[in-house]
This record gives sequence, C-alpha cells and structure tokens, in this order.
Amino acid sequence: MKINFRSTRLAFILISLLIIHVIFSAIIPQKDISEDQIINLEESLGDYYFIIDKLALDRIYTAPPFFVLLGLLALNLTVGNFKRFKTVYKIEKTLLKAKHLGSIIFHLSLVVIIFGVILNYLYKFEGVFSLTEGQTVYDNQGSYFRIINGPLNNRKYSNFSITLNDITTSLQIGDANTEAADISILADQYANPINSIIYTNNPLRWNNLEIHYGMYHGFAPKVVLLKNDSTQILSAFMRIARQINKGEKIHKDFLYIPQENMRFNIEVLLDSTENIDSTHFNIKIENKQKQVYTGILKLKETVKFDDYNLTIPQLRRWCYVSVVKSPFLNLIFFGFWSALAGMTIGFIPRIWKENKNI
Amino acid sequence: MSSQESIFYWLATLATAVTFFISILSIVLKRGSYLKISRIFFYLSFISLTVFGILRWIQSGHPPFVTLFESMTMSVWLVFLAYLIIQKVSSRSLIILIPVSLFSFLLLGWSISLPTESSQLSVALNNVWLFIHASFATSGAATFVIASSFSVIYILGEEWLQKHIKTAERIPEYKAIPKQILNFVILGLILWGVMIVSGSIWAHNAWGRYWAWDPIELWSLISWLLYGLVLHSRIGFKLSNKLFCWMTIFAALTVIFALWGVGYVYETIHVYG
Repeated sequence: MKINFRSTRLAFILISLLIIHVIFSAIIPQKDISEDQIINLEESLGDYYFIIDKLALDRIYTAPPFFVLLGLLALNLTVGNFKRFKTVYKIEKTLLKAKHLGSIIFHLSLVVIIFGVILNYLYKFEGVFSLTEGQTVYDNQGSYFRIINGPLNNRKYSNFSITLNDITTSLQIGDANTEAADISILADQYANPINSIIYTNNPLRWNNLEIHYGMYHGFAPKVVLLKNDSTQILSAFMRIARQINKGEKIHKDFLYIPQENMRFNIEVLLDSTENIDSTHFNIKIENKQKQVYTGILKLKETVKFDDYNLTIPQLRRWCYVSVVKSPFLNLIFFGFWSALAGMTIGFIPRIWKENKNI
Repeated sequence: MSSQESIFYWLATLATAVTFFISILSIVLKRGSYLKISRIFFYLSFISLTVFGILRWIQSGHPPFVTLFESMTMSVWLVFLAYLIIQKVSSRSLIILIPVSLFSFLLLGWSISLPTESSQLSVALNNVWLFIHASFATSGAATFVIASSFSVIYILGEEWLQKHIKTAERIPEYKAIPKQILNFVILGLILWGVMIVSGSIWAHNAWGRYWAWDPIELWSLISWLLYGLVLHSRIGFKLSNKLFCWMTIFAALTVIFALWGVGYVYETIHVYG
C-alpha cells in the first residue's frame, strides 16, 4: 500500500487516532497520573489486566505508539503544507496574503509544538520531595519521593540541598499568601544559602531549575511511644495528609507497629484558629485487635496505658516541594503563541469580507 | 447570593423562559411577528443578567468567573452578547433566538442547582491568568453555542422555515448559513486555543507542569481537536452542509462537557471556588 504523506486524508486519520488515544486515557486511569485508581482497576480486572498492560493502555503518553503518532503528524503537517503552498504560490505568485500566511504560520507552529513536546519529554526532570519543617534533603536520587526522568536526561545529582524552614498558613480568607513555604537552598558552589519564600504561582527559579511549592500540606506530629522500662518503640514524625471531605478538612491517619502488633490511630483536632499550641489529638490504639487506649491528648502531655507511655512533644507541618527542569519549555510556548497568531491572521480576512450576509 | 442578586438572577431566568416560550409559540402558531415580542423579553433578560454580573463583581471584589455557577451565568451572558452583536450586523437572524434562549434557559437552570455563594479567591486562583483563562473559556464556549444555534436552524431546513416563519426578513439567507457557522467555528477555535495556552502557561507557574493530562485539560483538547477535524472535513473534503451542522452540534457537546460536566465524572485538580 502506498501512503501519501502529504494528504489531508492522512491528517484526518492521524487527528482521529490522536482523539481516540486521548479518549482512551480519559477512560482508563493512567499510571503516572493517578496511581490509586490504577490499583482499583487492577483489582477489579484481576487476571485480565494483562491485556491493558500489554497494549500499554495504562501509560498511553509514554508508550511508543503515541510518539510515532506525533512524529507522523509532524511529518504530515510539514510535507503537506509545503506541497500545498507550493501550489498556491504557482497560482497566486505570492504567499503574503493574510489567508495563506496565517495558515502557514499556524501549521508550522503545530510542528514546532510537537517537536518541543517530544524534546521536552526526552530531556525533562521532575523530582518531588516530601519535607517536614526543619528537615534538610539532598539532591540524591534516593531522597526524592517521586522522580519522573526523561529517557535522555543526564542531570547530575548531589549539587545542592534544600531545607524547609517554615510553612506559614494564614487563615485570613482572601489573603494572597494563604500558604507559603520558606526554603533555603545550599549549593556546593556557594558559601551562603539562598533563601526564598515559595508559594503557588511563585516558584523559585534557580540554576535552570524551578522549585515549586506543592499544593497539599498537612501536619506532622512527632509520636514518641516508650515502654515502662524506657525501651523506645516509636519516635518519629508521622506525616498526615490533609483530606478535604465536603469542604471540611480532616487530618487523620494510622500507623501499624508490627513488633507490638499494634495499630495506632491519630486524628489532629484543630480549633478555629489552627493554632498549633492549642491543638488536641484524638488517639485510638488497638493491641492484638483489642482496643487498649482511646482518648484525647494535648501537645506535650504524657499518657500511660498498659506498659506504655505515649507523648506527642512536637507538631510540625509538612509539604511537597518539587524540583522541575523543562529545557524546551520556551520552544513549546513559542509554538503556542505563534499558532494563535497564525490562526488570528488567517481569520481576519474572513470577518472583513463575509459578515454582511448572515 | 444576596437578595438583590437573586432578584436579578431570577428575573433573567424568567425572562429567558418567556423568550423561549413566545418564540416557540411563533412557530407553533405560524406567527413570525411573535418573534419581535420575544426579543423584548430577551433584552430584559440581558439587562438583568448584566446587572446581576455587576452586583456580583462589586460584592465579591473579583470578576465573576470563579465558581462553576459564575462560569455558567457568565457564559449565558456572553451568548446573549454575541447574539446582540449578530443582531446589529444583520437583522435577519431573529430566529436564532429560539436555540439561544433554549440553551440559556437550560444552563441557567443547571447553574441554580450548584452552590451559588461567591467564593473568595484562594492563593492558586488569585492570579491574572485566571481572568485570561476563564474569560476565554467562557467566550469560546459561547461562540461554539452560537455556531450550534445556526446549525440547528440550518438542519430544520429551508422549506420548514419558510412555512413556519412567513416573512423572509426574520430568517437568515439559508445558503449563507454554513459559511457563517464556519466563521464561528474558526473564531471559537481561536478563543478555545487561547484558553488552552493560557491555562498551560498558568499551570506551569502554579504546579511546574505545563500539561498534566488532567481530565479538564484532556476534554478541552478533545473538543479542540474535534473542531479542528470538523473544520478540515469542511474545507478539505467538502463535507455536506447538513453533516457539517450535525458535527458542529456534536462537538459543542464535548465543549459543554469539558467546561462544566467533567467535575461530575472525574476527580480533577481544576477545583472551582
């Protein structure tokens, strides 16, 4: 079969395939986008999940067919438009009419966008830290909570560390700085750390990287559980993700301690000012599936039950901080704007001529 | 909603309903002149919705584009505005009032089922991109709605129109309609494109990702591509007029779903309010 790479028919088929791709990704939860839903799907499909896995339907945007499709579309756009405007030029002897100029700019911009998107995918880096106040993390592969690495990205690690000094939350509704994180960055090559306050819409741009404040934050109480003979069973910051249920914020989580066969449930109860010092904790502890303790605990207060002592000496906040490198972003945005400009230029003669006979 | 706001909101809804009722009556009773009466109610609806928008803006301190409810009412306002402009250009488009008022009435009815309180801007939304992004989204949707309204009229057929609306003054020149639809489709594509691009730039600033395949992004891309397909099948393959009209209407459904329906089906980071 002979394929004509410049035909509009092929463009039509390719765009339809692209739409089908996108619709599939809307139906089937994608691995790199929504991990919880994937697990649900795996459970409900059971043994048949391998079909989705084999066809790569759960990772459409990183699977080869998607890139082949984009590549073919770029080829079709380039060759097709070149041929078309060659014909137009032969007949009209100029391409500077707004109608043709707009169309050329628009279609070539699409090619630029496709190339930008593919290059950016190949060279991008995106790492997410989960940080508690006062904590310092290093730019090592292991210290990231999640990493999305482009196949050709060869960024070297270990050249800086990030310290989260403070998360400020203001309850004044309508205040522009409702949530913000105060971070310090110490890079190998500098003696002094760079301090910056980052919040949504205000990332820190530094050294070809962007450091973004993650959308969600929660509380991290330090839980200290000792036996009567002072053996330490648990002493750690428990990161509790904030859940929002019908507009109500819930800070609730549990921890399983295997050596004691103990399940530790905690809920952070806040007063209306969300003042950390007046926070209470609703605690339920089950030992060998029997409830051994239930009660409300204040910060720094100690309770005794069975042979255990429980204290919550500190309460901190935690958040996600993401480190992003997108080297071809400007190319993509350039493509975006020139595509819009092309569409507008091409549209002007239409309204000029034809608005009289509605 | 404050009491003043709700007076104007309900006045607008009522007037839209009356507009639709009278314009339908004009077809049922074959009295084209009734369309002129229904236009009076349309003006009333437009004015009350404008007052509602202004009151809302003053009360909340930001343009009314933020909650789903506001986005819907403002889209209706923009559809009205677009219709007024078409009216100015050509007085022969009176009949478009039927689909326009039907759509507006349905959307106003849908919007009242949602929380109507105006919300304060959160830190993620308090940004100049919100107004660029949201205003282009609503105006893009309004343009596509107008395109589909023309399509509905075209699908009804020339004979049917002449039989039910006797004076030719009130119906557009039948053969020119598809060309007009094409213009609105291209304009809509530009506006919807600006919406996607501005959203993408904003998302990069806010979250560090210019494109995250979020359900709303995904469906707005689907509708943009669909309209692109409709456009190319019209220009490239000389698609028949009727089929072209049907495709325009079908693509408009995806626009409506992308803008207002996604939240019912998916969990999305595009949280309104």
